[in-house]
Amino acid sequence: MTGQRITGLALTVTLLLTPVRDFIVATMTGHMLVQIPLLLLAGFLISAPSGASMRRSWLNPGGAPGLLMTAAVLTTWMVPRALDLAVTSNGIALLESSTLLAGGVLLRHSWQRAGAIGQAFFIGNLTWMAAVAGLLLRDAPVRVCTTYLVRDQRYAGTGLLLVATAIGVRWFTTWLALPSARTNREPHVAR
Amino acid sequence: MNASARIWSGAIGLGTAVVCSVLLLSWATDGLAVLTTDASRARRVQRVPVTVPTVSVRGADGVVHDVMADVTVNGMADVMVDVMADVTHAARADAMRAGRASMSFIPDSSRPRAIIVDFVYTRCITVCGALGGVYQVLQRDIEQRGLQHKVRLLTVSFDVENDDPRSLAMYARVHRANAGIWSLVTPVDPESRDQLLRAFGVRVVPDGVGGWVHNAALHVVDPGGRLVRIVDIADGEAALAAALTAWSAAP
Repeated sequence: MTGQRITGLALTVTLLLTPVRDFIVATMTGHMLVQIPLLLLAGFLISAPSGASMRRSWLNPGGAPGLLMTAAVLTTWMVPRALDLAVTSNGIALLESSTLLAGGVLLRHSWQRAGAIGQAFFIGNLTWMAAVAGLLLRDAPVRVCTTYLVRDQRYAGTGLLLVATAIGVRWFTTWLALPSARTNREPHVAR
Repeated sequence: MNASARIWSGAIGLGTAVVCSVLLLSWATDGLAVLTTDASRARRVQRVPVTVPTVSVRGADGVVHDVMADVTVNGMADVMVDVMADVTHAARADAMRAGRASMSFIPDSSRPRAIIVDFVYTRCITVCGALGGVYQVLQRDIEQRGLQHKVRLLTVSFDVENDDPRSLAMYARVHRANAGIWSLVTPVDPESRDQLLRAFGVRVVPDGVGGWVHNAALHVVDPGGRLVRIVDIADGEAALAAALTAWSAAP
């Protein structure tokens, strides 16, 4: 467990180093498909559960508040205006990094608690939204960010579409393999 | 922990999450109104006009003046000439010729005009060419509808390294700029340029092949020197309408 924490901390520090950050966010693809997911992952790794303490957090019933906030954070950093601001302002860059790290922490503490239905809701909404955002970015006739070029925007859109599809499909196949899912499909009503 | 306390803490957690989510998303989208920086900028300017900063620029005739100063023909008298300005005679002659060739009107009203401002660099062959075309149409509309004493056009080049008076005069000639309506300027140094771009919300990024990409738009400045409206480059009609409204509203 501590290994994960160290990895998460090292990842955070690396991602926040100015030259590294500047290099990654120089392209829209790097910003949306490398910086943002890695910050979320870093938060996820840092919060490696220590014992049963977290399971008793009554502030996060069914993991719903945690997943809601993680979804809001990820949605926010898909908004072109937010991406622009995160590149042009140090303060907003800090807001971006901290909310994504927090999103990763919340995701880990909420995922198991959410159960299959909560997870389906979370994954379904996010992948659907990311896929649509990807399609829009691919086909937009104009630049949506004042910071990035049109060509870069198309790459980012294609990448977003692929990643969203991959996560959606991967999660769905896992879900099909769950014993609970199999039981749910049995017509055991009115018996 | 008893059941009611559990329900309360759950409600507090959920409430906090909802409030934080709404706050974050509203912040990013200006209250769920916009998705892009440009849209946000246009919306804000329309609500709270932005005063254009006092910035020195050099015109196509090589004369240095404040960016908002009206230097179209009749305004020439109150221009302060910078003796250090690097004015080549050729550029001045070019500008004079360009002006005289297409001169159809000399504004006689002393009342300041509303201005439609755009940003270009003259080596640009993409969106700036389109902007030049839009300005030609606007200029024709202004001439035909007799609006010369109400609205003028201003093209600002952000390429302070390359766009000297001669390049501006060339651009003016190519686009048949009427010197009584349409003036062209370059800020005198990079600092002035950055100040101007910031005030107008224009962001210039290298396109990777030696040129730049920028968010092109038509910026309407009222006779008092305040940026009051930003419209899409394809919507010259809206820019003209906004400029006329701004002119009528001015004291």
